[in-house]
Amino acid sequence: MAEPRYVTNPDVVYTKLGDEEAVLLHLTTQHYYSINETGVAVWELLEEPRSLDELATALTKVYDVEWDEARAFAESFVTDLGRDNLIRKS
Amino acid sequence: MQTVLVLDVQGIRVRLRAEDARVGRVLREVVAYFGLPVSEAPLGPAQASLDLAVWERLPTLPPTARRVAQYGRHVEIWRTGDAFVLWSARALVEVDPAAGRAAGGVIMQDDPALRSEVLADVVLGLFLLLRPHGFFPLHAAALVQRSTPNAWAHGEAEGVLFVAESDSGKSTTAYQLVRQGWSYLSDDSILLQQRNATIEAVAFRRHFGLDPDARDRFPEVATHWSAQLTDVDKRCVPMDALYPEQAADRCVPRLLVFPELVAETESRLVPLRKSEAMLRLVAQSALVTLDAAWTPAHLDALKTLVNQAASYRLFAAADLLRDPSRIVSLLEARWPASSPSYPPSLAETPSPHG
Repeated sequence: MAEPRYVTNPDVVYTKLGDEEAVLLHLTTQHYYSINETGVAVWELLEEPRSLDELATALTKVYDVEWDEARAFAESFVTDLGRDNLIRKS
Repeated sequence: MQTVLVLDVQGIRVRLRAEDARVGRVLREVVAYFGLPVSEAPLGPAQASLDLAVWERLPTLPPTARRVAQYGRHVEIWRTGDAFVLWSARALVEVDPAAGRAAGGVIMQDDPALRSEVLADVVLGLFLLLRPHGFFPLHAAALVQRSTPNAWAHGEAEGVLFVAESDSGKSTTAYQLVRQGWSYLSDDSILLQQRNATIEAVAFRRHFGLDPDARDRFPEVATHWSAQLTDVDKRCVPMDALYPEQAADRCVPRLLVFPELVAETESRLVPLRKSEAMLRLVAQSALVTLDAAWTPAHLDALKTLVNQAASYRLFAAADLLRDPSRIVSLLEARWPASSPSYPPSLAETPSPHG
């Protein structure tokens, strides 16, 4: 079975503040969140549908991190984002 | 007899009209609450209008209407097509922002709550009608420090915004600053408008709302104040009577201060990350999530504001009440030395007050 791919929820408005942080505003739940530099990198990657493996590979090209560690981070962050419906499966 | 009032919000004329004299009287009280320029004769075409009639009963909402938000204690906001319906127990107003028009009716009762409901409808109606003109509301106090060298740089006043929930000390702090010579836009509610890549704060509601015990610290207020329409626990202080020379129409915010009351001995300002400041601004921004079509522009305005100003949490302790000069020294110590958002050609222009 193909690995699921994830993409940002169009009901979430993304506002980037400089290069290192951003704010997410969910229009339906009216909840809002801040994300740090790494979160910004993942969020922008998720503007196109991506699997966790693809996210991990992309992160290793930007950060000095082993693939397994990047994959674990991506899985954890995507789980957090999915819990609040900020992203969805494509 | 028909009542027509024209409210001037920074050059945008909003015509308020009531066919019934009783509604007209309520409308006059409500409009006086803003402390903004009002005329009884149209000085030209109005860019927006709000009409109120007397109704026997409120109409029912169409089945397709959906509730999108609650505003304060009284008003529910419903969406029907491109219009919004402001619905409360005794009033209903339909607002069509694209057409610049709002119209509705009230059930006349000799009940103070009616005024609060009409006020909430007028405030919300104005927010919605002014948004297409580039104005976004923010729950904040706004003040201008005249004596700071940078305050009137480039002919524009630079200011501080106190942004927080009610009962966080905004109004008391703002009033203390006015007593020490600062100019004021509001203690509670302003509009944000983008001009030349900079966000300016614009006066929207001038009169202050203070706790009844404020008379112990500020005896002058008691001879002027009256019941507050929005909050029965507060008194309305007409600032045009007390400090007419210190009213300011607009300013460029350079400090964003987010106050919170603490049981400590000494107040302090602590720098805040941009994202944290942004989240706090969003929390105090009515309508930001009301209409997805306007959310990006509203957030862009808040983003520009965060980028042009330095942001701090204010841990407000009892020393601010004991020593009014304390807040001045705290703010002046953090006042930005330069105006980063000005283009170089303007920044090189000497300040007339610098």
